Amino acid sequence: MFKKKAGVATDNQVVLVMTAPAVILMIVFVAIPLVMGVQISLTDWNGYSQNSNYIGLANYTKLFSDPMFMRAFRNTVIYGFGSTLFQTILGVLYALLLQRAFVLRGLTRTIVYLPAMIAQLLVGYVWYFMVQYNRGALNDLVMLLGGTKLDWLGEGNRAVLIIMIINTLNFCGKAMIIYIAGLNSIPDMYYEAASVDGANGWQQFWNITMPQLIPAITTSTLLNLIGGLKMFGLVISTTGGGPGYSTHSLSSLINTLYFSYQDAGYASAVGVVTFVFIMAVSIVIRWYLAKKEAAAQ
Amino acid sequence: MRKRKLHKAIIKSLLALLIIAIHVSPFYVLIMMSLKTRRDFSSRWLPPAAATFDNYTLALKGGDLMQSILNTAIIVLIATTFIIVIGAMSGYPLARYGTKFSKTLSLLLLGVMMVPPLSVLVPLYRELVLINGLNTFWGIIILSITYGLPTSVFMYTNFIHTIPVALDEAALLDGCSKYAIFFRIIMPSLKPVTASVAILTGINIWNDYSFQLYVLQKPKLRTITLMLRSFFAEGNTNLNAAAAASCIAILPLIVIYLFLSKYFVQGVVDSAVK
Amino acid sequence: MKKVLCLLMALALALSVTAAFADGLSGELVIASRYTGVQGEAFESIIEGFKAENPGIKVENQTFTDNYEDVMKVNMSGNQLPDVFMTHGWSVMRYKEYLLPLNDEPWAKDIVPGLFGSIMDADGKFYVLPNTNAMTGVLVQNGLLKELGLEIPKTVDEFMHCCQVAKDNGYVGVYVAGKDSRSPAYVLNLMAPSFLLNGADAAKTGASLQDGSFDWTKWAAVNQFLMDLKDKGYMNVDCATADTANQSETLVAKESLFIFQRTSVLIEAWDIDPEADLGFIPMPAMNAEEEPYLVGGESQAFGIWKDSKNIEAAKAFLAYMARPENIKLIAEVCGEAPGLQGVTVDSGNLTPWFEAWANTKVQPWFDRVYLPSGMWAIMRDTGSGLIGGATTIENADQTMKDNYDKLRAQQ
Repeated sequence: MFKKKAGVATDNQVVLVMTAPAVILMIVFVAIPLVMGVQISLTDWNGYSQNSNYIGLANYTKLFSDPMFMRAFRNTVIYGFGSTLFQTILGVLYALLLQRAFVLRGLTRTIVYLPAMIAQLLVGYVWYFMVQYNRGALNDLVMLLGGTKLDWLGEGNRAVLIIMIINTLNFCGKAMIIYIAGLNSIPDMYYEAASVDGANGWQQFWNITMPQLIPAITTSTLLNLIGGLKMFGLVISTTGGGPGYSTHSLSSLINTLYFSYQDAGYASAVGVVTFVFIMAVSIVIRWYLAKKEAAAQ
Repeated sequence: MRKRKLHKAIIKSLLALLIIAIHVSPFYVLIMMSLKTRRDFSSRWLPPAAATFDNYTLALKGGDLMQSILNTAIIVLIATTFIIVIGAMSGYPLARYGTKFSKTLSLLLLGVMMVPPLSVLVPLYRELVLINGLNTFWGIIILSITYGLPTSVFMYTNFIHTIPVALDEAALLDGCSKYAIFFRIIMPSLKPVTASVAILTGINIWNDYSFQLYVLQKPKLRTITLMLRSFFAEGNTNLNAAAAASCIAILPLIVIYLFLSKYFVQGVVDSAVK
Repeated sequence: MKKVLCLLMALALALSVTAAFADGLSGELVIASRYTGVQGEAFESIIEGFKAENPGIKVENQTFTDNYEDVMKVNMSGNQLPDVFMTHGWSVMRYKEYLLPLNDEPWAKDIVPGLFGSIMDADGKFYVLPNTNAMTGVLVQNGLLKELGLEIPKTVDEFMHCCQVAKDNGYVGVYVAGKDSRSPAYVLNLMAPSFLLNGADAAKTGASLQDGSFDWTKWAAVNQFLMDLKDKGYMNVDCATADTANQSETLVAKESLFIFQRTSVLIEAWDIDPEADLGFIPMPAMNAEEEPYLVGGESQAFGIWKDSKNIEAAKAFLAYMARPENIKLIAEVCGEAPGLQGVTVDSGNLTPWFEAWANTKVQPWFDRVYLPSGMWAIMRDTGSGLIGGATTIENADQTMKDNYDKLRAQQ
């Protein structure tokens, strides 16, 4: 053991120095606003006046009996986890179809993936032209087939489902690409060996493909979950949160409470709860993934 | 055997056609709308009797749309540069040194990645008013950096994990400091993942709506999403012009994709949590 | 001699300097409005004219679109406002805290008397130059009304009958673009006077709304009207999801008979088809004994930030805007009646309608006079909840009452 040279940085120093810019930004624009948010949530500030009153925890007690908040909370969970589930299914199916070369492969991949690059807000407007009641493209098809027009977004639960489907269809390209990469990384010899053993296509899928895809699935799950939980633009541009308040996500609810309802104190309370909830979800997921990683090694 | 292969190819192609039809239809409708006049109440599936480019002229009138594309490009370029530099710097120690602090930081950063930025909207707003950051490019850029950073740190950390530690150790024995290792060993090998980080975070900022909506309120500063919103918003009821503006806004993305599709695909794969 | 000359010269210099200050105002004005398109061009031309007369004043013309209110809220929270800004109906309820009283301005005596109900506060002060008086009623597809052989409805029953006939012939009675929750709220806000302020008790009910003793079970009639329109099938099927962009379209396409909206929707519709036979009619009254009424009040109004560093220049700008030719210009491009007396306006397609209702009673916007600030949002909430099937009339009434009490307590 030789004497430690003066001036050699310890691990901790290196971590502190090199992460400093990131840490400072996080403190100034994430942590401080969060603390201020807690402060504002204890008042009845209307969002623009110079005056506000301290009202204690009233905004928080109101939260859990407020049907609007409960609905937005439920919707956010559906947007997040529901989209993730469907994107996984669709992504795997598309990947299986589009992994190996055939005439339309390149074109199909591009067309599925391209919309994933477009802003949620715009995607919502584009789809609104499809599902609108009057002159909506989907209703034109329905009538062509002899059905009667339907106000697709007119019923709350159905509208939530439609928003989730739009989100799934539009952004499943990302999942598809991850799964194609996952499929490509499975060595051919696995399949060859299985064929020799007489396993049919279905057996091969369940016994080789799926287990090998698990890392890709966790990956894309997290990616899709992030998109779904942050849902904002899509809700604004398809339904604006309606009918009533039935399709609001937590993000769009905060926006509405702040600007339309002039209830910045309450909007802050919803924000704080959202922040804490999603932070907790992400930590649980991270902890779970780390545990699995450790088990795999 | 060959016949069976042919059958399979036909079924595959039919399926592919169906998928294409589903995914293309909304955008087909968008294009058709952009080519029709406001008085054309025909089905959106039908092409116009006589295509008009008036909507495009209207959308481009006054140069506001082009200005907004330029504004967005400036914001994306500057913010992405910082996101790359700061992200790579932070990714290195987080991947290499498992101190308590670095573990906690990784965990918190992942959290920030998932939290909807709107949850801190109200106070963030207040803060920006206090530091005079509203209606400034630096204001939106600094927020874009902050909330884009976790993804970048994450991808760099993952990537640096894959660089053999043996290289670091060899350099340490040669008398390299830990900081120098980053610049001499790590940095040069980050090129592939940097392309991915740039594309992924760049697209996110290009498409952002929530921050831009609040920070950039003056018409001259408007970005592309805000511009589109104003085309669709109350008081502007010309949906056909809005459709044309949307087509124009999508075009740069398609062009960039066609040139860089390889990096886009790699970007998605790299963003994977391992 | 020399001394006297010096003194004289100094005096002359001093005089000329004061003269310069008196004549040519200087400073830099920031003016915020939410004008776009034709309206934006008209407003810009007024600013150009003002600059030509006052070369010492620089003007920054900030125009916003639909996010104007959000922008102003941010500005208020930071206590940093433009020198002159548009108050779009909220000079008293929302912006008062930040506005300069303008009672002593030269144009104040010309304000149309009917406007004071909406721009004056309890202390008799007002804070804006009301360029226009936004009068509206029910927008009507007049061609369709005639085609169906219907008369202009004067009572709620007649109105319902018109809707029934429209429905029987395959048309929409009342078009509601509920993707924007303002649309159902307009129905409530515009109809409230009809159901609440009638008969001998009208004044008493009004006073009870203002002093907090209002009996909220009466509000059920207003909510019931909205629900009747929906339940009887008079509304468009997509009343909860239609986009406001479709309002003008549905009038032009002759699909809908009535819309509860501002007259600006008519201007948009005529932009699509200048020949369309459209107009507006007074709100139907509760019964034949009552009079139909229009709803009007502050609209294109501008006030001055009380902490502005350029108050004199800002007052000069308002005085310039108050000139008849400028009032006329704004009123015409906005399709509204002038807010100052002695101005004649050519309102194009709207002219015959303004003339037809020249003697009709005008009610102020209900929420701005009778309800505490913040109730508009609650009306939006309950209105869209009702037509979206998310709430019942009883719950909606209760929500109105609870928030009314809460918001009153906050004042």
